[in-house]
Amino acid sequence: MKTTQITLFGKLRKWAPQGLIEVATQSEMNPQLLREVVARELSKRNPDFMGLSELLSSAVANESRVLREDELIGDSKEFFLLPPVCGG
Amino acid sequence: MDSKRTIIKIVKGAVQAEEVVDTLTHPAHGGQACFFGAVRNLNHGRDVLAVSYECHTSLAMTVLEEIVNEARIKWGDELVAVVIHGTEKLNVGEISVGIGVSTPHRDEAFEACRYIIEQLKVRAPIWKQEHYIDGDSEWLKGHELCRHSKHTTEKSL
Repeated sequence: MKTTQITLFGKLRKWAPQGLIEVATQSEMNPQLLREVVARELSKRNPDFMGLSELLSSAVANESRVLREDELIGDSKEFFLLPPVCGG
Repeated sequence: MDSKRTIIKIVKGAVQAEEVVDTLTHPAHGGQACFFGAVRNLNHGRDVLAVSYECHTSLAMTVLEEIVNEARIKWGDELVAVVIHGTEKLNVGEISVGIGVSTPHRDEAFEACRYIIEQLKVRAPIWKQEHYIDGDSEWLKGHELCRHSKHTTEKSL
């Protein structure tokens, strides 16, 4: 197990006002499992957590790219959760 | 990427239109197209005071470079592009995004400029939160960057 820092963006920040949380992860996790770990952490912090829909529609990214859903998170200790985007 | 032909920036505050326009001059290019997106005062019937923009900057830079590269493949290697996106809280009328494209002829400039803004809106990791005149605020819905089985994940939680 390792401690991984997750940065939340957009609507997800509501559940972690600083936009940052730390969760315990394993290298063999894929993005879906990482989202599940984050969901549990946010539920623990917010008994009234209602952000599951946003969380499940969020992509997992590192500094430079969005992870594929079938790839493993590996040894990285920093990820970003990207809800649906709306720039412009 | 040739940095002289592509300028991509994520800036704090509003985009300055001159920065986009002034970069586009090229002696061999007869077509220059620009698009500016500004904060408007009404959305879905609600009076908007301002919009806050948030960005995963390093990833956004990568994605915007990819989009410009795609435009260059589609409309010619000589294409010059400027893409500048603002962040933080912008008031009504301020420019949130500026895109400029310069090409030898106008058709390519129009088409490439349109391509870049449309792709930016669905691929760049940027989010906006509208602030309304009644004091409320709301993050806007957007385009998912991933495709996965929500059903499976919801069941497993």
